[in-house]
Amino acid sequence: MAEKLLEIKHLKQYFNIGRPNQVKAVDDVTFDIYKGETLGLVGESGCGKSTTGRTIIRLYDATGGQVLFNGENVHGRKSKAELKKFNRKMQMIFQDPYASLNPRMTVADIIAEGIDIHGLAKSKKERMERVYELLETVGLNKEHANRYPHEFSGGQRQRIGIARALAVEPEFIIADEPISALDVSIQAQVVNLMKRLQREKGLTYLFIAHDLSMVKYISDRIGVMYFGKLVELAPADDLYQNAMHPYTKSLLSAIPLPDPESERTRRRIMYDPSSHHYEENEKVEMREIAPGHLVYCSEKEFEQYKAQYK
Amino acid sequence: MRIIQQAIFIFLLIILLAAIPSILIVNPYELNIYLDFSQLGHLYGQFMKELASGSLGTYQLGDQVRFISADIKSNFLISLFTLLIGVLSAVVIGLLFGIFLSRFIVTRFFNMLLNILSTIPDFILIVFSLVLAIKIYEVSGVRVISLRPDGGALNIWYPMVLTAIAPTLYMFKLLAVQYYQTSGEDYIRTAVSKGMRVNYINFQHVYKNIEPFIIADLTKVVSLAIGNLFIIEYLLNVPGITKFIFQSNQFQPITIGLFSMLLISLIVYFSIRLVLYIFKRGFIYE
Amino acid sequence: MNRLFSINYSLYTGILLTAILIFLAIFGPSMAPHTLTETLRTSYENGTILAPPLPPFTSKEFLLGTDRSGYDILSMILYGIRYTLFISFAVTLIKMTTGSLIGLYVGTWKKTPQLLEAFENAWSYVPLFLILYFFLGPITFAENADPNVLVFYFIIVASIVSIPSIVSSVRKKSKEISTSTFIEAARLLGANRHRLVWRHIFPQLKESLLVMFILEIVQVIALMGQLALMNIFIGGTIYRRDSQIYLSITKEISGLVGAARGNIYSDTTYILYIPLILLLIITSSFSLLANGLKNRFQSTYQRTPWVKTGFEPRVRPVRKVMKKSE
Repeated sequence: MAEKLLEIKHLKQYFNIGRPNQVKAVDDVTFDIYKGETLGLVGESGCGKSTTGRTIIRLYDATGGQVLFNGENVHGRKSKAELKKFNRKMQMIFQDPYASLNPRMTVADIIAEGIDIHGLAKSKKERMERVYELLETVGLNKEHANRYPHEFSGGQRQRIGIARALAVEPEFIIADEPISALDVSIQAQVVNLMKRLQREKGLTYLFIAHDLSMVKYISDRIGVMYFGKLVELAPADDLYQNAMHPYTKSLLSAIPLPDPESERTRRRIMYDPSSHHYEENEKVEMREIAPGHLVYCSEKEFEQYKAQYK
Repeated sequence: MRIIQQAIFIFLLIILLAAIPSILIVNPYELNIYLDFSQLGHLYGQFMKELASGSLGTYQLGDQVRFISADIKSNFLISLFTLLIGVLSAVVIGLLFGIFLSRFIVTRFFNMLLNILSTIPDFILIVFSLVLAIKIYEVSGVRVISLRPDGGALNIWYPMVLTAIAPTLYMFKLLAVQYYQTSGEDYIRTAVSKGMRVNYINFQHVYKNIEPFIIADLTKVVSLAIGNLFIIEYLLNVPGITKFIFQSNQFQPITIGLFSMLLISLIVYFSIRLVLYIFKRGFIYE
Repeated sequence: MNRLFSINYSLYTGILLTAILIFLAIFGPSMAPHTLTETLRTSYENGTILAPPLPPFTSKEFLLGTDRSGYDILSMILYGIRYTLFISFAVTLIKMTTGSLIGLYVGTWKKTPQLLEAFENAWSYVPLFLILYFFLGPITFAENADPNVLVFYFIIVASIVSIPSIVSSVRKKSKEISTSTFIEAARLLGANRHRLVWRHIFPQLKESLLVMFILEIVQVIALMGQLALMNIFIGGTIYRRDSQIYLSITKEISGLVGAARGNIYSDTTYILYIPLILLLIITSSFSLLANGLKNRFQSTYQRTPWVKTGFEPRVRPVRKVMKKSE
């Protein structure tokens, strides 16, 4: 397998610590992201997948655990220069293309913000050229540079958001539900754009979504989250064919198919967390049932899953 | 926790303010201004001693020295009622004309008047109202106000009206803006599209969403009313709590006056909260 | 016809009146017909006795009349107006800059300090003029004090005293904006706090800060007026024990109002009216200006109400016209 770009170790993010309404949004999550791949992260809304993304990129300070980027810890005390370095390497694409662009700035200023902050352009002319180049990369044209965000459609705004992230030439991009606020007809365009950029620039993605079919299309590997825990992590095709964890099964059974025949016979599987019957002192953790296929299970279930795996 | 901190801040502010006339010294020869804190400990000690002995001390009224305890009750009640009526009318008139009646053409005129008045600083309004009262007396001989402290009812109703002016205008303005903004929300559209009557929407959807703003600004309204109460009591010679504050610059009466004012404002604040609560229970949840 | 209704009269009148006021503040003293020490001598002209107090429009020399001691009211006003405008502007400038700076930055903090919030709240309970009353009361009567020092002292104290309320309102606005996604995006790009404040938050707030600035000028004038009613005039108060009258040293307009307060009960009310009306004009021209600006910004960004509220603005939105790109 390729080299690891990002290692997430026992990441924890709790809110309202010490109060009765404490929430374990991310609870001891461990996984790696390899260079050049797309890792999809799925789960129902509120299961902590966005929080995972936001914690990795330091929008929240992690309650516990480590995030290693190229072997260097991202979290913990950092000098301003170190932080800036990480800011260049890691970027994020946001869910809401309407809220993520400052309505009082022109598209050129929005895209060039990263260039200005990191001093990537020596002259005004160079700066504008970079902006034009980026606009073209994401499929917009030069003329759009002097306009304001409200003049664009959702898909175009998302492209602007992508261009803004690309401006600092990052290695790793967290896409936080980048297509869920978009029209279905636009979704494919944006996803294809992201795929093309990955090929051209060798980017690594963490693709957070709840739409499984789209995630399958873009991801190399997929992680499934449930209530702050990663329950299954496997290569995309493997996950679809050999889903082990009952929650993954339930999630897969919920995908509607554009075929009336199978849709009529489709059976939803319900997931009941109490069906595991874990015992008090049983160790429940991620275990590898096949190369690259990890499931959150107990020793007993581990044997069971291994047997089931084809 | 925050309420305790707030209370401490207000307490400190009051004892500091009351002490300023005693510790702020102007040197008449070198014309510099400085604070002399050496007296401070003595002042507070004196104050505590006085309180411990069960007396509230004395204050000066004109040339005579009077006991605070002899006058505080009636003065307290006068200020309390003036303030209560002022703030209450602010809330009632504000709600009526700012929300519930604002759409009628008849009230439009009144709204316009309120709007114009609200741009005029309140002290100008107070002076003008005073002039008006005197002109009315000159022309018709009807005694609208009395400047004598023993004027009875005549002495009290005009100050009440004057105290009500500024908070009413403030409240009206606030509610008008909030109403206009709230009525653009999508849940209002949903309500309209379901064919609900405007009155129903105003009560059920608008008021519920505006109430937090009223409560948040209630302290501001009370503070506005207190500010004007001070001026009005001073100008109209009303025997209220401010007598202790403006007639002398001794620490004792000023402190007692300010603390009484604080008590009054708290009573007013909670009474209004109670009124709003009853209104909500009675009209909105029925 | 509709077009006539939708003109932003408030804005244009406000601008015009403010311009006139500024003109008077600059050139007032040189236009004044008399100095501040000249008095009307009692004289006998065309069969009438001219003696102070002289009502307005009875003498060409003393157009707006004189006060009881025979000083020309018009001249006093022309000398005083610059003080009123300068003081109120200076106080507003200091408190708005300091307050906005603190508010803008504190708004970007992850958590607002509890102590600060408690302090702001506590401060908002106490009427400002009362605080100033206690601070200025002992000083304003200081004999032979330099009026400029007293003016300076007022500017400093009044600014400091009113900073907390500005901080509170700017902080809340700044906080609201700093939670939006585009701020997160900028943070991730590596923007530091200064950049967040000046490139992202301030541009969103500049219109409302401008309106707030103008309205705060009115607030300062109102504060000065309230103090004047308690016989505290900015720049010093002269107290004539024999006649029990208070006089403003600087002739600042609200001070003139305060000094003329006693005339309310006599037939020389005009001595009070003239500065009072002028003060009204000053405050309303600023209010008009602020209102006009607000109308303009609001009509551009405001959503239309779904029910009839009775508060619909008649001003048309001014849309930004985009430059055509080549």
